[in-house]
Amino acid sequence: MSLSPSTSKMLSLKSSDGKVLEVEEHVAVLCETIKSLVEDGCADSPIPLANVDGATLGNVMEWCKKHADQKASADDLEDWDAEFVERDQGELYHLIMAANYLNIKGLLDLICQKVADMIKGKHPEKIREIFNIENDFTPEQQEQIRKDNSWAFE
Amino acid sequence: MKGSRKRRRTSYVNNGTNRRNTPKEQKEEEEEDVEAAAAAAEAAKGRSISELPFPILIDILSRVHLKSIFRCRCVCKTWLHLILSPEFAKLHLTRAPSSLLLQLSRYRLSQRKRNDVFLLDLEAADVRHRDAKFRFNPNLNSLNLRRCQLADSCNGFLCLADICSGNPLYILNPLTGDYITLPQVQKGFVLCESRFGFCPNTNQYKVVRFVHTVKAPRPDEWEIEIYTLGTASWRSTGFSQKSACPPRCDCLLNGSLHWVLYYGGGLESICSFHIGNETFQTLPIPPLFDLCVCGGHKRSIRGLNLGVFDGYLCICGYDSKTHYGIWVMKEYGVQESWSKLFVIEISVPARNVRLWWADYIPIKFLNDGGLLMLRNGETLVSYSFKERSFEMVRNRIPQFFEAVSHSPSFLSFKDIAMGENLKVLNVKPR
Repeated sequence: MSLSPSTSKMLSLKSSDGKVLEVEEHVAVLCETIKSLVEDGCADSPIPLANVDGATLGNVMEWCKKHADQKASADDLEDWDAEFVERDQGELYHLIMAANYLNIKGLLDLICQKVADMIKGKHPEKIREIFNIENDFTPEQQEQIRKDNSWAFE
Repeated sequence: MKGSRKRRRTSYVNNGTNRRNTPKEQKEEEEEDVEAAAAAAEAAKGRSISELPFPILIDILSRVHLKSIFRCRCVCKTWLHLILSPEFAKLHLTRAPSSLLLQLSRYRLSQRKRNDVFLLDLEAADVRHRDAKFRFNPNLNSLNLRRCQLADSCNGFLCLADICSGNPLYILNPLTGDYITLPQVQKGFVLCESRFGFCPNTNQYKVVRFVHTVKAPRPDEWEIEIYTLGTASWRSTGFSQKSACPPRCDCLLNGSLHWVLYYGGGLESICSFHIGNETFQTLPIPPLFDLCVCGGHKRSIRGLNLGVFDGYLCICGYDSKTHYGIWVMKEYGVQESWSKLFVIEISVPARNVRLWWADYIPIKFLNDGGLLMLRNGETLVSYSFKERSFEMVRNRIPQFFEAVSHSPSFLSFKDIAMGENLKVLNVKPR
């Protein structure tokens, strides 16, 4: 089966909130999940994606489209990706879940790295604040764990 | 919003039992479905990263900068447990930045301070930036690091040897503070070179020590002894002439240690010792290398160095007094595949004796295009091909140090070895 852009046909993807998105096959197959459906010949009707909402699916396909473009240079893609991940946490959450569900390693790596970079250099209090995490250590545990790890804080 | 959606659904169940919806109602239902979904999507926008499934959180945490991982441990119990899990340690190892462990040279022992072993992240955006440097837990000093030399490192575990004899003493994970004490053999006066490696086929970690004793049948024969982690004692594989001039730098490639063999002053071949099946192999040197190295002065082997660069076995030496060649073996074991990667021009400041015939080993290219190299195994320099000049890489690291390649890891001994003889201790005062 040829997946080159010139011969690529369109696939319909249906999001969890019922939105249908028409995507070129060579773009959609960046999702391993969809690729295996295409290879098994089960991709004729709109493919239901129960775990991805319409807005997120749009974002995911935007990323796939850019990355399926063989003319894009590595530097260009890097800059584009850097801009692509500038989103609020809710959107990042949904992108990660979607990339995981659709099995798009490149996108999953990109967003996970973005979140890891958000953590870099921040103190525990700040990390809790950003990610809305409750501090469930008792004061004694808290003191002990800080003491055990403080040498790494500088 | 989620609540309102639920209420609506409940009212449907109440009203619509046992009867089919009219087309109008069906349309309404569809509309409401879309509405409800939109509302749910709206509510879900406020999702937090911390709600992600554990395997994905582990994935994210394993990418966090080393220093920050210790901060993440203090965030909440979940994150602490995720970071302490073997899954985290395994994934982190695959992403561990290639680094150098540095310690002030043993020849400057009096200047050695407490806790002066540290890590330099070679994949940092700028190796000269303070973020690239990482100091370890000061509790490591309970092992008296001042009196130790960094013998070798593998998968985040460091082999520490006695500063005078080179006899291996401990295997330590400097990040977790876990260590084991190696069994000691009384052999009278010995000199050792120790290497530490991993055999993926048998999943065994082994310490290999090259022992120089008065018992040796010939002065250039060293005895090779092996200790497999988790076993009770050392095993000897006997004396071998092949082990003359044991490996002194990081030359672990394809599961084998490598070193150069030379007789009567001339370079003969490269010798390897496979850690898994414990056999020797001879590898060819680049064709004509012996003649071109040292500018035709076959007897001189100054400046010769062996290492691993970019995944290839790499040999470096002087083509002439001012040209230093760096060769790599593109296809392991094939003499014809040796190719010269670069030539470095050395303009030596006349009075600096230390730089005459200095040896170099390339480490990696820096972002500015400079080639990061270790000079004489004790100084980090960056070579600019454009300017044809060297620049010291400082970052407040001692000028003369001993270095060993290291991949920082959170693996614990129970992840890497089994056996009743594995008594794991921790530097943490208990």
